Amino acid sequence: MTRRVAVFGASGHVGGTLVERLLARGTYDVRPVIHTAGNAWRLARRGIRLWQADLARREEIREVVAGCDVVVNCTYPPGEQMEPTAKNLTAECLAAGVKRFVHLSSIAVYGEFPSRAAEYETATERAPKRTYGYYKLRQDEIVERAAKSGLPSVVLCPPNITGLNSRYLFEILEALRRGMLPLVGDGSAPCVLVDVVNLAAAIELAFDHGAADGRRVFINDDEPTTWRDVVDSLWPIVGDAPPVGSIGVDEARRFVANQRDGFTLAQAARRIAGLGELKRVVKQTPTLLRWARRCKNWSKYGPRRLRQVFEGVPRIAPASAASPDWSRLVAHQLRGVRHRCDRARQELGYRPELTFAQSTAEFRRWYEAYCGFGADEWPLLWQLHHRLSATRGG
Amino acid sequence: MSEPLRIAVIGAGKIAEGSHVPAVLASPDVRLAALVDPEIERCRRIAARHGIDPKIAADVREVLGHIDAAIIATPNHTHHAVALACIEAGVHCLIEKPLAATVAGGEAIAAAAERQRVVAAVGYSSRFIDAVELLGDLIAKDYFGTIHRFAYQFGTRGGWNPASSYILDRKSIGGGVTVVVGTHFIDWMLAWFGFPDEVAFADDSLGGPEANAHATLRFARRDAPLVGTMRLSKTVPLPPGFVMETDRGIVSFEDKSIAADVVLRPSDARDCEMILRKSPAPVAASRPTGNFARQLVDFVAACRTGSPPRVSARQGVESLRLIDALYSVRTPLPEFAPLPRLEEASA
Repeated sequence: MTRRVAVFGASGHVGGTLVERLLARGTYDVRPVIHTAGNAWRLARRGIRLWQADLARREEIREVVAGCDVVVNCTYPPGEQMEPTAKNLTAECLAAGVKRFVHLSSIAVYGEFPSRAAEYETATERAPKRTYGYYKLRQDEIVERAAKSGLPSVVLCPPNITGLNSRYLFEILEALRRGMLPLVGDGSAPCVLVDVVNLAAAIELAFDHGAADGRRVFINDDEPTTWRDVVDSLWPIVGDAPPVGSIGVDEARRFVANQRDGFTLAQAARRIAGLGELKRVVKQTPTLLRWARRCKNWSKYGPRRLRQVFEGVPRIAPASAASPDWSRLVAHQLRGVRHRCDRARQELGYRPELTFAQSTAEFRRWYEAYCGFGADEWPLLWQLHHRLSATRGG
Repeated sequence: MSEPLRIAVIGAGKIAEGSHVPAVLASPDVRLAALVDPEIERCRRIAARHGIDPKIAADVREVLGHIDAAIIATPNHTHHAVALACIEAGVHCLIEKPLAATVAGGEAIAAAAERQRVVAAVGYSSRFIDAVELLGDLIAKDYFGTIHRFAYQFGTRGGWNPASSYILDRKSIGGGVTVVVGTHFIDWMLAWFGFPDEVAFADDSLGGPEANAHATLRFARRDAPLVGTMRLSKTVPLPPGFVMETDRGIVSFEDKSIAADVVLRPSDARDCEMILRKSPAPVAASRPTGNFARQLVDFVAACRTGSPPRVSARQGVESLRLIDALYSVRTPLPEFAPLPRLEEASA
């Protein structure tokens, strides 16, 4: 019998890959669920039906999950909306009698610098409040509670995701082109990655396997890849760039710590003053300034339910690109932990479909075809890459 | 001074709300007489936001007797019917790009406008960007000498969410990324270099609107043939811009801001860059800074004087013809399978 699978977050990297995989199987009734049309081109090009739902709206979720056997959550809402959206989705899946719920967590729940114990899923989570990892952790707790209430749930926990069109690989490429990615030490620090194809394979396995008790399961390429390996694999498509530098561990720690410090009052004032005409107008208009302050306080302290009475249930903002934080890649080299896939292998029967070498070779081939690297016009296009690298703030 | 033109904005989606209505409200030459959209609530919301009280209607026919001109900002596949209704009633039209979803639709609009002697302009607002105007002027004057080749690219990971989600449907768009994004560059290219003599085209459509498209365009010329490429994406971030190799050097323009400069890297001094910028206009001749506002000034002037608008319906038809020519020679872009070992797994 054909199983009906709803994939929330289908316009994203993981969701899109999963939907394409399930469609290629030809044995599933797939409901790709998107938030907004603008990001859904990858699937729209197939001419298939796309379902639209806002996770802040229970009735929209209800319509999509009705009759579904499996629901996959690959969504990436803004931080504070992660918790309520996970609550809405699990509640509707429970009510609809969904047989399997697959949720994507993140190794970020173990904090930016996890303990050695984070080789295994049972390590203590320590993501600081109001970070991405913290909100993912709150989501995991919601899913675990839903599992206890009767929603069979598998929580997969990937590291940074690679594969075709990977944001993470683009970030590394851009950092290399700008000379902003020094290797820490000799570059032998572990770099734990998962190709999106491997992750999609694990998600599919989770439809039928796993304890479904809402516990986290690490999914990655399960190889001893180092940062030097990653740089070497991308170097052939970097182009004309400065050589990769090297910094010591202590220096790297100081660099990351400096980047993480908050603003002093003076820095904050300067930053605000530099934000353009709108801010200047508000600042020079006493009434507007008072209103702006009130709005800020209201949005900060106003009870959510009370605000909804006046403002209605807020819609989720569409995903947008963040400005680059180059220290992030240095920080990632300081993690020093390899997350083991033992549980995934035992409980899901997970075996990576692509090796790291295959994954990066495929990425390079794709980059040449879709970004023009090595094409006749590349010397002209390089002017644009080069200018962007030279002028973009970061 | 003559009375302001009574103008209707037809279609109350994102482009109307964010660009056309603000341009109309800022102009002393026009008065927003009507807002039209089948979803009337959108019109009311826009009116309330700006504190205005135009006539609000669900159908364009309800306002035709009350307006002199219309800005048509509805989904592409509806341009044809809406524009014909306006033109037949003697209403001048500024039609959002592309002119129509098909060449036949565009031809019908152009012919009707000529017959009725009304203005039909196409909303290629990017033609009013300083750098685009400057490049056009300099190319026309042969400032760069022979142009040997050019490359254009524009790629983003999605973005632009129109209210009606029509971009998910190939028929509503009249194509895919080539229409939604590429049509701006196609319009410039036609204005700068004319219609290409030979084209090659590849895209990734599997029945829906293509998300990626690559084109090669060849222009036969007396001195030396010109070859250019166009790379468009709605899934892959590509640094946006135009680059050409000329006798004078490498000329580039980053297509990401209306304030972008034209940069010349001279062939005899590759380690320096020259910024080419239009001279500031005299104060008396100053014009709006936004490209939508400039487009409106151009449209109003055409309505009042009978002079052709910068982008006429006939030029809009040429863009549609080139898009049609590209699609007619379409080949598929390489697909990268989501199931690398499907065969092995099933074997």
